[in-house]
Amino acid sequence: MATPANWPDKSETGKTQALVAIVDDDESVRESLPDLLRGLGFAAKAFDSADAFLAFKDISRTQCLLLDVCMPGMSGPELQQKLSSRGIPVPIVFITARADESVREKLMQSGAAACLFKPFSELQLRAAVDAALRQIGDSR
Amino acid sequence: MNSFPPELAIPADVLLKWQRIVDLLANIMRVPSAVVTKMEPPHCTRYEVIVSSSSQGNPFPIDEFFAMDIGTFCETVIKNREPLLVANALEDDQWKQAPEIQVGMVSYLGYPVLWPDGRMFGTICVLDDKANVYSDLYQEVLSHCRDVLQADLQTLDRLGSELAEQGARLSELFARVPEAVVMIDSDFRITRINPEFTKIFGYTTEEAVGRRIRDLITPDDLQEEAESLMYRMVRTEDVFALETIRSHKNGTRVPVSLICVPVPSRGCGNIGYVIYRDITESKRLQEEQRRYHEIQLELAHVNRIATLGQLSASIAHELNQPLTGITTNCATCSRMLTADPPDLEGAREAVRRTMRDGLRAANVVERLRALFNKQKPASESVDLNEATREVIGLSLDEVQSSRVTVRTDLADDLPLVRADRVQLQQVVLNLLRNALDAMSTVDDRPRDLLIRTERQEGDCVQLSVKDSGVGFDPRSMAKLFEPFYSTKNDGMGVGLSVSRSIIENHQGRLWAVQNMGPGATFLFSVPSRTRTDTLVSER
Repeated sequence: MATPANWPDKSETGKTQALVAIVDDDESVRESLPDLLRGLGFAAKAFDSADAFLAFKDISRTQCLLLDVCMPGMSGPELQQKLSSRGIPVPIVFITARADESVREKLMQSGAAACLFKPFSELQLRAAVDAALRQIGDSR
Repeated sequence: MNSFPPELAIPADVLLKWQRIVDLLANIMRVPSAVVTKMEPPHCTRYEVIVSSSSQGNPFPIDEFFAMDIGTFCETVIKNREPLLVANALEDDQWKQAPEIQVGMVSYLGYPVLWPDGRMFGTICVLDDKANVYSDLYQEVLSHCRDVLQADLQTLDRLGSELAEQGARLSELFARVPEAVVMIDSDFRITRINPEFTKIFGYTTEEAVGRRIRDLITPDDLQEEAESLMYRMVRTEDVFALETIRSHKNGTRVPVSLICVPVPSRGCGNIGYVIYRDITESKRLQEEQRRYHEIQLELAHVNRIATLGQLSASIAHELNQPLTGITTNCATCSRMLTADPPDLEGAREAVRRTMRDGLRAANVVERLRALFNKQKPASESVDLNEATREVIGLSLDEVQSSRVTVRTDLADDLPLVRADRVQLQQVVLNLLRNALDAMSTVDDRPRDLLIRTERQEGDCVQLSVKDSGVGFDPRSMAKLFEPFYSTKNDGMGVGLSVSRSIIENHQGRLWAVQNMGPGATFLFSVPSRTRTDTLVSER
């Protein structure tokens, strides 16, 4: 698989690995995604709620946020709003169990880098994270 | 002057008896004339000869009237209420001018005849064409005859009041009974109506009596039916009833339930009664009930769809979580196994997580199944033909807009089924709608729908819905009944699987066959009520 030139090398230390955060209230998702992401060469950390992520001390290091839409308490879009109002420019990949095209459109219009329908394949995940990292690249 | 209550005419048989009496009197007393007179009510300005002896020389014919102011013998008797004896009028200053002399009668013996209450009836008297002293014996005879007459009057009086009282009671009944009652004669004309009749049909007594009942209240399109009713009344003694429609005076149609009561004619001219009840209200209630049931059925369907809609959304949501875990973990596992060197521990962990997610998914499905079976079905005796007709009635709009021809072939001898009526109707509705969908793209042949019910061996009831639509692949028949299977673009596809579970809950089965020609037939059979009850009692 081709790796974009400006990406940190897989073999280097964790400090240069892009940090992907996962926020989802579902245990299966939280337990399975980090391993796959690490296998793909990313550092990964999972949180079980939006509040838990907001309390993350290294929140500004996050280069990609995989964010569930429907969660008890603060929802995905609400967290997106909060991050924006706090000036934290994390690219967001929404992940949702409701396969509704109109919802995806709205989410994309709100500025998300990508939107994935569960369950998604490894390929789809990789493409979405790529799009998120490109967003950072574009804004720098 | 007393006011006179309505009087009966003296019956013919009584007059006959009185005729015999005056004939005897004339004969025994050897006088030419013996008569009974009656004052004419109410003003009593004249009296009438009501019986007169048939003896020779009797100048007074029956039915002759005499004025009360010309000075006749009877006039005096009536006015004085006392017997009168005039031996020879010619030699009596008081009676020289008596009108009777002009017809040859010169002597008179007469007694007043009274009603039991003292009212003046008339006289009984004898007259002679020669002087006559009328011996004591003759006076006694005549007096006794007067007593006989008065006894007769007493009987008549009592009969009269009894009749009057009966009449009053009948009138009261007539007036107060809360149904319209009409008496009709042999010409089918109205002879009497009661107030309820006016209330229901708008005609007063004046407007109704004398009119032919058919002309009055029967609508034009029901004339023949009314005619056959009338003739049945005349020809048989049956009391019979039916529901039909009559017209109010203002033209509105009134649904009624009517009873024809022929009564044997006793010379009064009436052939019987017709009793009407206005059933507008009960018909309206019937219609409301029907509508209510229709709405119930529709609501049950919509509710099921809505619930399923919500269910399928939440199912999707719930299933997709463990599914995400499974795919992600498998991707990880695969990656770990192909790494150099392979990360067996990591792979094992990924596999463990996969199995756990698989179990989670199975639980979701189990919960879904439990939800479908949650409601305990109601149980009653159901006529599947009736239930089917209702469903068809409910779907008429859809059928018509789909340009489909629906035919039914419902067995006459279909036994009842012990079932949840609404649930069975749900199944029929589902099959019907599926059939409509199957034919929605058909344009090169007629869109025919045939719904048939029949009794099956083994005491079962079978319903089939046959369409001329696109049919199905026989190899995928099993899939048809799976939840979420759908050949429709927007179909949720739960209809058939739910229908099957309903039928199976009723100890029946639901299946499908391809037609010989185009299209498919979906059938279900359920045990009849007797079979169900037998099975239950055997447990």
